Amino acid sequence: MGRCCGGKNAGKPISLPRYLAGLGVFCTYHTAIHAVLKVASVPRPDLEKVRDFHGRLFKDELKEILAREDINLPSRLLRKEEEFCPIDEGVWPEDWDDLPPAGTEAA
Amino acid sequence: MLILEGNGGACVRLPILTEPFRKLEPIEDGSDVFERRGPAPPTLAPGEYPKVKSNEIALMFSGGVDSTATAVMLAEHYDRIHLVTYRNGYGHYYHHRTAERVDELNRRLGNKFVYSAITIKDYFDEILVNSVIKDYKEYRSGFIWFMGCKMSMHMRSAIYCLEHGLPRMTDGSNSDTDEMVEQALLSLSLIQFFYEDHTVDFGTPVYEVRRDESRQVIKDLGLKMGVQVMDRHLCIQPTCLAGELYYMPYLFFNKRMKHDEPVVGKFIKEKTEICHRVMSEYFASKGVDLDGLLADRREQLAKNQEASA
Repeated sequence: MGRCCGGKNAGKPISLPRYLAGLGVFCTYHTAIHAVLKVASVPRPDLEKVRDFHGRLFKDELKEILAREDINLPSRLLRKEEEFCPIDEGVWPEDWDDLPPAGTEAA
Repeated sequence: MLILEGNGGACVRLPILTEPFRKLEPIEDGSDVFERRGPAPPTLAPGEYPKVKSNEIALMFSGGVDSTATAVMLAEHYDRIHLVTYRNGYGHYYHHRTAERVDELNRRLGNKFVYSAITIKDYFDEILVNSVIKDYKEYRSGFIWFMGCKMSMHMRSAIYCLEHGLPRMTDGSNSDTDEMVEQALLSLSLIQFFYEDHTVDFGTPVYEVRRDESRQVIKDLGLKMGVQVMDRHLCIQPTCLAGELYYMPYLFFNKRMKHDEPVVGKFIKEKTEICHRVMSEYFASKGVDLDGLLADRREQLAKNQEASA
């Protein structure tokens, strides 16, 4: 109740085996359905729209899953590289209370 | 895929290969109803509108945990409950399970339930499928399929209420499953406005009821519980292939569903206009003016309210 955006389990961590098993089922199920739609749309051209819609949705979702977008996978094996913070150390002094030299701008 | 039920019967029998080829015959020529247990609606004629019956109510019913708990709850307060179930024509199978649940309820609760199974394929085509590629480009999420399907069901439910003279419509939406776009609070609120515009009072009686309580109600009555997998009960309601595919990333990966409220709201508003047009055409095909029917209902409802005050 009163939850927002994307479901009560959204963002909860999952394990690497679960991710890999899920990926396998996801790809197999979608591929099978797409094959059925492709065959079925030959005698029934009205299914072409559904087939194309399914193809686009599958492609977009697969891209997101492979990029682990909105997926909390705290595995050491798949941890992304530490984010590089592009701050020009020459512009900002080590002591953050000091203001940067007048007339200097970050690149 | 084959899953065995407690009684040894198979509850999943290769739906992909068999069900799409099962032709559903309408019970009457020109009708979209393919199964009915109970009286047919009165024949509509210009100027002759059905009388509003305040002791009857309609429920969008699948036979699952939430809608069954709703049905049991409604049976305590109403003389007759109209259970309506829909088939969208695109990977939506096993409607016999719903019919079996209706029989169970009638046996346990004294024949209070009438049942209609209706195909909404033509409405769904008009509301979503014919423009699905364009809509996907605009809304960039698969929710359009489910919201479009549910709006087709709600639109047909509004028609059902008008035809049968029912003042109220309900469904088994629950906050425990609000990851489903059609059960999100915003969607339900906008759907409620749609019904209100068509003189039907829409409610979700079990929205705040915990699913464990609903399960207990069903167990206490001795109704079938199906096969429980995590929080879900298989084999007691129809299967939606598209739903299984779409919610898979959420179930497997806990991936956030892309149901952003402004986008969903825009979609519902856009489709509401189409729903109203389809309803007008439905009644026009029966020689009835929708505006006249709505005006008559408003008058009847006002009179009923005065009488009960």
